[in-house]
Amino acid sequence: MKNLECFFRPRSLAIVGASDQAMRPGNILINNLVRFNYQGKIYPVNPKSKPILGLKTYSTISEIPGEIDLVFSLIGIEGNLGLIEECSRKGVKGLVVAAGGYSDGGNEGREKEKKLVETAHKYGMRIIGPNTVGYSNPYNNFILSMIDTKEPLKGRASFICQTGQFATNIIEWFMSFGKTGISQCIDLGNKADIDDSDVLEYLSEDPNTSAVGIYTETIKNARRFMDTASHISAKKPIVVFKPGRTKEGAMMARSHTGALVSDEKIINAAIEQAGLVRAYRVDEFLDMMRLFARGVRIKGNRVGIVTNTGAGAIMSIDTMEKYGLELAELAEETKNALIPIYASYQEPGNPVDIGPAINIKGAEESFKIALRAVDNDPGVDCILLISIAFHSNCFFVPDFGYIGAICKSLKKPVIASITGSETAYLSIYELLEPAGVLTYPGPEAATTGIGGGYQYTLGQKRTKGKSFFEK
Amino acid sequence: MKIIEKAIKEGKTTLSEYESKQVLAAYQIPVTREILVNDVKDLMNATQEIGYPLVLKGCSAEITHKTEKGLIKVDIRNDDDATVAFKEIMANMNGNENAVLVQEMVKGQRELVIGLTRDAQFGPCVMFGLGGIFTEILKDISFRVAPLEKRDALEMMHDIKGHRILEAVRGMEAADLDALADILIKVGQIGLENEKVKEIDINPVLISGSKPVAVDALVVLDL
Repeated sequence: MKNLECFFRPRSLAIVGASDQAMRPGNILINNLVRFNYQGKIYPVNPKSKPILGLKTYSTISEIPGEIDLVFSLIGIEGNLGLIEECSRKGVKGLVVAAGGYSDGGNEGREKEKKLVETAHKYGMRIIGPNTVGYSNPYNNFILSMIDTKEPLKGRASFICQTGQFATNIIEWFMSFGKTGISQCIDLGNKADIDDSDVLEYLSEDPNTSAVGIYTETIKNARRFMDTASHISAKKPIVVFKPGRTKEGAMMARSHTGALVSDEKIINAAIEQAGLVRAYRVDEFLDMMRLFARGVRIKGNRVGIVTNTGAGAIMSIDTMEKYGLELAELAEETKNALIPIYASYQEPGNPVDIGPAINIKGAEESFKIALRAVDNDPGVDCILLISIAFHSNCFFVPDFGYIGAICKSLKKPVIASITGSETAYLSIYELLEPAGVLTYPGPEAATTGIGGGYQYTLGQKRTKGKSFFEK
Repeated sequence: MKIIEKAIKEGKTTLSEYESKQVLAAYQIPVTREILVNDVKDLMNATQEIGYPLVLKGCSAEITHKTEKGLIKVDIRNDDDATVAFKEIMANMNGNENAVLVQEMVKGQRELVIGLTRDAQFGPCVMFGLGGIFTEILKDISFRVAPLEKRDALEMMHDIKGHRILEAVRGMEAADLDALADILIKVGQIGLENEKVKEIDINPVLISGSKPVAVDALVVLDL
């Protein structure tokens, strides 16, 4: 039952509860499949409907002539047990259940959910959901979602979510930070059957996935999760974003997906022991995921800052403490190398504030000397480049095409913070990202990315690539 | 373990302090030297063996809040006081298996708590924190999922806000962190190896000199 191919690479797919009316979930789902050019066979099922988007519609599953790998159920709770019986006669292997009101709907719903899974397992069928909107994989043009989905960019980050709309929402959110794409985004809903560990195992084999972000309100089969996740994170960093740290937040999580809630301190300990990275806020979650999606690794906690704004450096330093990052102590040689770009009244040090130097040496030359000096310092693990950006050219802001080329020649990872309008930010982003400089819209965001990278390194030192129970 | 199996057979959901400590001792967790007695003759033998000063405690699986019920007499220094205390405790107990625990009086100002809880998701988890009345008031505690490595044990001690209590403070020796870590690891091991153990509460663990000793303990079972 480990093979999830029927869910993620189905050759044929039936949608039960398909609709010919635009804006209905049963219509949007098919529209997404057609629009993004799904390669398999699509069988809409609805006893009353005319053809949908030019596809022949069937009144029942049994009526479908060919084999069916996967069934997406959009019908209400009452119909799903009967549907499973019908699917079993067609040899269906996987079922995605959208309906809510199972374990997210109190004790009675919990019983129904148990029965749903038991019935499916009786026929060797597996379930994603219930209470899911579906999932997306832009690499094989498979967008199986009841939300009208913006075309996802292909990237290296995969997301596993426990909540419907947010799963789709996160794709757009992630993309809007810059141009970071996704490899897969999977909403597991209530995780009644297939859970995070199953999907992690599947994603560990996915060549397009470099890192996995998990939005979870509850961790099911927690010990298996710790074991699986700690093992996989040796190769693919895993960030766990679990909200609900407050009592009220935890109660909301419980009613939302019927989640059993563990003590916050236990969850934190477990995440740390498994060598995973924890995020507490959604912006933090995405900032960290962007770093991992680019394959950047932060090997130590000593940050060298090169900045044309002292204010930006202070904001960054304030954020560093939370992740155990420190300002690198610069070597004497580095300080000497910085003298030419320091004013007589300044003492060279970290952060390297080149603001005053720019007036004399110009922005490009000042940044170049500073970046190279900091890169050569053996006491620096990574470089944080901070710059302001304006709507028009400003002598304080260097030509980032040139700076990008300098960064590319450096040995250490460079992470940039660019503050300014969206247009100004994106124009610099376009120049820095191709040069391998991960670019964030602000000092806190950039530092958070670095912080996540360092937390990952710490976690790996702890687990040494072994899984939780191997230790 | 035999003590656990026997208690379950008898339908008990808790072990007495004496039995609980036997479970701990079987895992090499340092516990107070103590003898369980039923009459004055045994009491006298026990006081001689353990030596004054000592502590007398009412002991039964049915009793959990000993202090509130007047079932603990501390700093007993001679045979007369021991006999009076013994009789008072026996009179205050109303359970079926009344007995008195004659226990060495461990000196130490620092009280810690070490426990085991079985989380619905994560299974056996080890708890560490400030003990005695501070456990309830400050809730300054940390957790790790069992099994624990030494590193986990050391880190979880450092996780509590009051971790400096373990250092050499106010003329007291620094607590033996290796010995404490060992207890934390062993408690996790008890949880992993004994599915019927639902909870363990060792409170207080006293730091005597630099060495931790389990002074009171409660093992809760899952029938």
